[in-house]
Amino acid sequence: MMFSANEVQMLAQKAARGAGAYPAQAAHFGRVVAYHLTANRSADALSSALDALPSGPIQTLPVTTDESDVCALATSYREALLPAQQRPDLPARLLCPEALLSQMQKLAHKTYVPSSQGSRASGAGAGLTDND
Amino acid sequence: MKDAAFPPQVPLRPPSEVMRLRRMGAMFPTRLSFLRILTRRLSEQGTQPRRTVWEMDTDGYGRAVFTLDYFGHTYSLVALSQPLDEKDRSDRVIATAWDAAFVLYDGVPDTAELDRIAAAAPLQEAGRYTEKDLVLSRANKSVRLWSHCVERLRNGEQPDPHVLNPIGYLMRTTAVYGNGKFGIADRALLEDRPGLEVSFMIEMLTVWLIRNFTFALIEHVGGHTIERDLKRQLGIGNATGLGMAPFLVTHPVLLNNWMMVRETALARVRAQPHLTDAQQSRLRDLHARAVDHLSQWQVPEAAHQLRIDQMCAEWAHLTPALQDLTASDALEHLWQHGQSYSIETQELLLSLMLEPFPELIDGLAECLTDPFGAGALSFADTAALQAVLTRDYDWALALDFDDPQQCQRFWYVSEEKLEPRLGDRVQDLGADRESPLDIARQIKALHADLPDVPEPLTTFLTRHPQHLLAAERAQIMTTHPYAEIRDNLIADTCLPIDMLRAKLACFGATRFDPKSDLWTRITLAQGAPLADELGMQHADDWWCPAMPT
Repeated sequence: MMFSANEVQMLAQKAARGAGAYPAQAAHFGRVVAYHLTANRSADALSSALDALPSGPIQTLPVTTDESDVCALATSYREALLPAQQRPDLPARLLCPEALLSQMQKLAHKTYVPSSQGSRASGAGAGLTDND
Repeated sequence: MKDAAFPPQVPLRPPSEVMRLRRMGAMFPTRLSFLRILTRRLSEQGTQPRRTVWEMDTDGYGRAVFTLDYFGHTYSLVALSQPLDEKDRSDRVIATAWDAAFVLYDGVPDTAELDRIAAAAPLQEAGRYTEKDLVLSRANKSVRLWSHCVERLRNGEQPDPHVLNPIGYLMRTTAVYGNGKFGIADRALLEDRPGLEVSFMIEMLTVWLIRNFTFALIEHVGGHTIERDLKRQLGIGNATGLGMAPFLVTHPVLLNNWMMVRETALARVRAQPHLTDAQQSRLRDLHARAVDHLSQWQVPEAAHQLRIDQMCAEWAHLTPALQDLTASDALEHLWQHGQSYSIETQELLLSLMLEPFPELIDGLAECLTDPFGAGALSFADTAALQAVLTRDYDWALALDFDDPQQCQRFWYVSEEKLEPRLGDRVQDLGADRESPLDIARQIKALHADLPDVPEPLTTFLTRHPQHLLAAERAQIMTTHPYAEIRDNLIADTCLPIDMLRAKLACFGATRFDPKSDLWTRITLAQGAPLADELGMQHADDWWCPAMPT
């Protein structure tokens, strides 16, 4: 399925959070996934990294980027960490493999909080109707 | 900045003063707000929207396209208007039907594209969009004002300004989506386009075009035109809730740049040693206009109306200080005089003082963007990090997070609409899924874990990876001193409405009408030039707009 790059980035970030990544690491992973898929690198590397949470490369790569690490994921991390004007351009549409998409959606769902009657009543805009 | 030599300026107000929520929650739009920048650029382009499709029945239901050439690109607002059952009428983001839906399209849509958009846009979040769709929005009518205007126009009469003023808009948007949402184009695809470099410029263009559409629609249904002096004072309403608040936290570089531009503009103006006669007159005229603006700004919420009333009284007290501005450093004296008044009055005075100086400050608009990003961690060791925490986060380190009130709230994303919400840590479920807007608490936790003996930052973060976010925030502060809201966003005293006000003021919103601590109504583009007024001499003269009385 085709997505905007921002959709993929946000979904991947939430998925990493849902799987137990720390907030900054999850944000890095979101950016990395967009570059990783753009470069047609293995989606399995992304899936495996998510599976490894709350340990594994998603937690460690943003802290200890090793220039000698030539694995696909480490390469994507290095790309995403380049200064903004040196990074590869992202395409207008990203193809996200179905299996990865499904995995990320399930994990992202773990970050959402179900509504309750109380949260609806106290939420932004509660009770708002057109009255002007 | 293009300036060959920077103009003189006084020292900037410190972030410890500027970046407090109480002050941010009192901000007013300025000539550097995004809508003002947009209408100046539209004027520079000598452009006007063309009505290229108008398939509307006599009641104003159907579809329309307005096409505009802007800096070498063509953009089209696709507007879809439909009947709405009263029971479905709600401004909440959880609504599923609206009076009108909009897409800003890249280019000119052919019939097939128009049909595609007409099928998807009324669904809003439930639809899917393409990279040709740049912005997605929807709006509800102000039924009371719409009915009044239709009735008057059909009778060959003009709307009553006393009915127009308390509402101020014919339609009210409830979301203006950009940057890739639901498949629309990413911001990255547009940010290099001329005229769109400044944040939210494409969204502001959409809002201005929607306003133009509401005029065309009401005049179509009413059968007569509204006088331009009345029409110009109608904007586009907006109901804004928590959805936009986290942006200020998750985009620290942009926040810094927006605030730095504002503060730099103030610092330049305060350093002006002499004012021309024209500048002196302009300040007095605008001060008088603001009296009308403030008197017309009436809100039902008592505490907020009290703040407006106090501002009205203090604004009147400024009058003598504006009578003689011939002395050296007259503006600085005016500014210092204003510091004895409320924060609201201080911030309105800031906005007034910027207005007569387009040549001095308008070029700062180029600095409102974030072309470089935050940059990588570069602290030599934990001691360097600690020094920044001590210098820039003293406000966070002073907080006691063992006090339940300091962490009473938690931000989260609702499953129902995937929108940010604010929960009570004791009463509500979901704190285990908290969104990381607890910056102060994270900074304090990082500080507590820093070793007594300095070590390389990588060594420390390998041992404490949970502190990467706080370390990155501190890194940004080394080059962007206005990047952080210097208040605890999970304290029981935190008022999200202040975050909304700050961001909306940057957009150029007026007539803030808070409905609670969590959401507000506002008006966008009130007083902005009409389509056929772009490029005219006074097209940029819409600071503190007021309805003719």
